[in-house]
Amino acid sequence: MIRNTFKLVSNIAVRPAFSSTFVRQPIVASSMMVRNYGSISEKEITDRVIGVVSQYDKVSGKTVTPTTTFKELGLDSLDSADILVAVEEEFGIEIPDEEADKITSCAETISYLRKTPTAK
Amino acid sequence: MNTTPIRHSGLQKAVLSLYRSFLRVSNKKEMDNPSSSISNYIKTQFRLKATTIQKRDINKIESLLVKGKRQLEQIQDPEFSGFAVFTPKSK
Repeated sequence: MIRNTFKLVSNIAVRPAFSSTFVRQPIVASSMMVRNYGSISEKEITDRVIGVVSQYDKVSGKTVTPTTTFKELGLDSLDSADILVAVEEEFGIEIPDEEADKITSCAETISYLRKTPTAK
Repeated sequence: MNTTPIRHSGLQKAVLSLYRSFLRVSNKKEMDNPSSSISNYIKTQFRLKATTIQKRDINKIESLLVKGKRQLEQIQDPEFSGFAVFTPKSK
């Protein structure tokens, strides 16, 4: 009898929790991804990245194109770190170290942001 | 695009990572208190050390990394408002 009630309770307690997480999560995740990809176009990312880079003191007066590398602008690794932190603030994200070490140009910044759904 | 990635040593990566963490924290601090100029101090310190310390002086760089990490923790304290810098008088 006790075992039976336990079974009953555990069935009720466990099942709905399981099924709800199972059903709900994928929908939430995918709808978020769709929304984020939709809200920020490649052109907008490009424009904002170029905006952030051109605002940097040492870059003023130089032309920045989407393919410009930081080296071409006369920037060293400390300057690139500066710019990446500014990009992080602009898009409300945090670029992990291993990614940040790889980014050396506007194009790489843009492609990183393209595959980062949390960028806004 | 044909760009060869810059290869940084482990030590360089550690310094850059510390620099980024410093900038993130100081930017946050300056948002709360726009009059403070923590990030200026941090930038000049990193620049100064990048030019004055030899690349091969690994001991010095490592000790500064440890010092920097400690300072980073101090900065993150909500009570922290800025650096006070003292230079001993030279006679």
